[in-house]
Amino acid sequence: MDDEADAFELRRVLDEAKVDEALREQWHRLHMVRDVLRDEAASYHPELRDRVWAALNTPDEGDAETAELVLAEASGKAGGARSPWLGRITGAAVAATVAAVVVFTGGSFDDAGEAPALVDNTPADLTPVMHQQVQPEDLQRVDGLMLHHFQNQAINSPGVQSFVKLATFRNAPVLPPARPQAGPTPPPAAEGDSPAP
Amino acid sequence: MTRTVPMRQWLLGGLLLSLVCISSARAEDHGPSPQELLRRMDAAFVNLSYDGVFSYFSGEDLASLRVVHKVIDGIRRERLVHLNGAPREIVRHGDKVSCIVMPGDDLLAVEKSIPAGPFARAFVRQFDRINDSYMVDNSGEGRVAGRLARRIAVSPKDSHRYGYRLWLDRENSLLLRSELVDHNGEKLEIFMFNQVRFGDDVQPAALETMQVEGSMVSHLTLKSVPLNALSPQAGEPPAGQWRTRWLPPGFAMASDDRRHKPASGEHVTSLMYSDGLAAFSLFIEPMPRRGAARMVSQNGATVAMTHAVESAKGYYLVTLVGEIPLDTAQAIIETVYLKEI
Repeated sequence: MDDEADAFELRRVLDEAKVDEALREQWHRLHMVRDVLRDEAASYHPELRDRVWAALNTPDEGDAETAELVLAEASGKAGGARSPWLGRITGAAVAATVAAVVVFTGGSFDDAGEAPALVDNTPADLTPVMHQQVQPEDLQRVDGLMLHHFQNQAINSPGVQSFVKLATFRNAPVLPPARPQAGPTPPPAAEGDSPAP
Repeated sequence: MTRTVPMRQWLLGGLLLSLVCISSARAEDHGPSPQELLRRMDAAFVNLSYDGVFSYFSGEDLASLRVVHKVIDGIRRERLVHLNGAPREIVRHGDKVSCIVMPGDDLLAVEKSIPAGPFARAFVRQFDRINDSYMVDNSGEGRVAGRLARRIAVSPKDSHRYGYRLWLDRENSLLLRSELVDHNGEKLEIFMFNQVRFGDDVQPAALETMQVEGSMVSHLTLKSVPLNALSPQAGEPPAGQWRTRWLPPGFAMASDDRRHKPASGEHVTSLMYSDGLAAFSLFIEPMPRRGAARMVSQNGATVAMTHAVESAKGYYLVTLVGEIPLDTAQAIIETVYLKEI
């Protein structure tokens, strides 16, 4: 919901929500709250999750595109500009990486025939969405090629801006915990001391 | 014998002189053309000494960075420091660039997965070409980081590229602020100095890198070699065979390179295209055994998408990365093909 989940986490939650009524309701409530806070409550459709899920899990190429259409329809923009729903929902799939939006597109590859490499290496439980499922290897490869593009552009440009993309590329917002400092151990707190806020 | 000049000629001469003066004054008021300002902007990046802190917004991320630039003994020295998050610096010394990061930085892990080696000189920024694809106009003045600035609007002539709004320092033409905007005027990227100083105020000591224990360095090098210098290995199609059946008007190939991924050893063909301002890269590699989903991602102005291509030599995965609209990227990547020879 806050675009911090990865593809697997999103899928796991969706999966659990199918059998867990309480989780489903919680999902519903949290999204309602989020939408109200964002003043978008009118755009929320409770059945949207199931329709998106169904579309994502359909091996048929046409239905994969339906995932986009479902999302676009939910925002009343079918056939038009990219849906804001699409940006947020699909964005959750890769929010932890450099990407903000991920959509699954139809293409000529499957139309031209099956790709053995893809099929053979797709885990059995993900077979129905083998061509749409984003794997960690996909994200790593695209990250690497993005970095390569930024490097090539930066090193050939006179200004600092191109290097900015390099400097800010996937920079972790949170530092790892600092190692304990060597030195005297602080005395234990006396009884009645309140913990630091 | 002295000949007197008739009063009428005096008046005519005076009038002409006045017109010339007025005309010159107006030209001075208008200042240099926007194209000339763009050229000065690039020169300012290279020649000026400056030390400043700026903000950079892209997509959903906002970052603060410090940049120090100075030419010492004819060699460009530049230091870019990320002021938030994990310590990270980028240092340029002539054509060599070093990235200084801490162990565990994600950048290291990503960098290990990308094709290694020096970068070929690519002619990405070519202002003399942009008139075909953009309209460049003066758009008044503004104030950035406490300094007066000339504003320039670079507007695309079609929907295949983004537009730019630039603020150039009125005194020295350094870029003080830029906005990359889509066709709805939405800002996709913002670069803006918060404070900056120039000239002798920039101390050479400010170019010294951080001395953080355990920091690691990786290097980038710009090589000045002919394109296509790498010869293809046996069984690999040469890079020149990869083509697109369609390109947006004004885009042309800026670099063409082949290299190997350090981890897998597999070859990757990289083609970079530019219209003089915007650029995108196409990466073509044999279909990986794991991880080959079709995906599209967008962060700020940068789009990345994958597409599979079937050829007589097998399946290939094409990845496009660039600062172009999504629809344009989709139209391009679907026309990539391996030209048989």
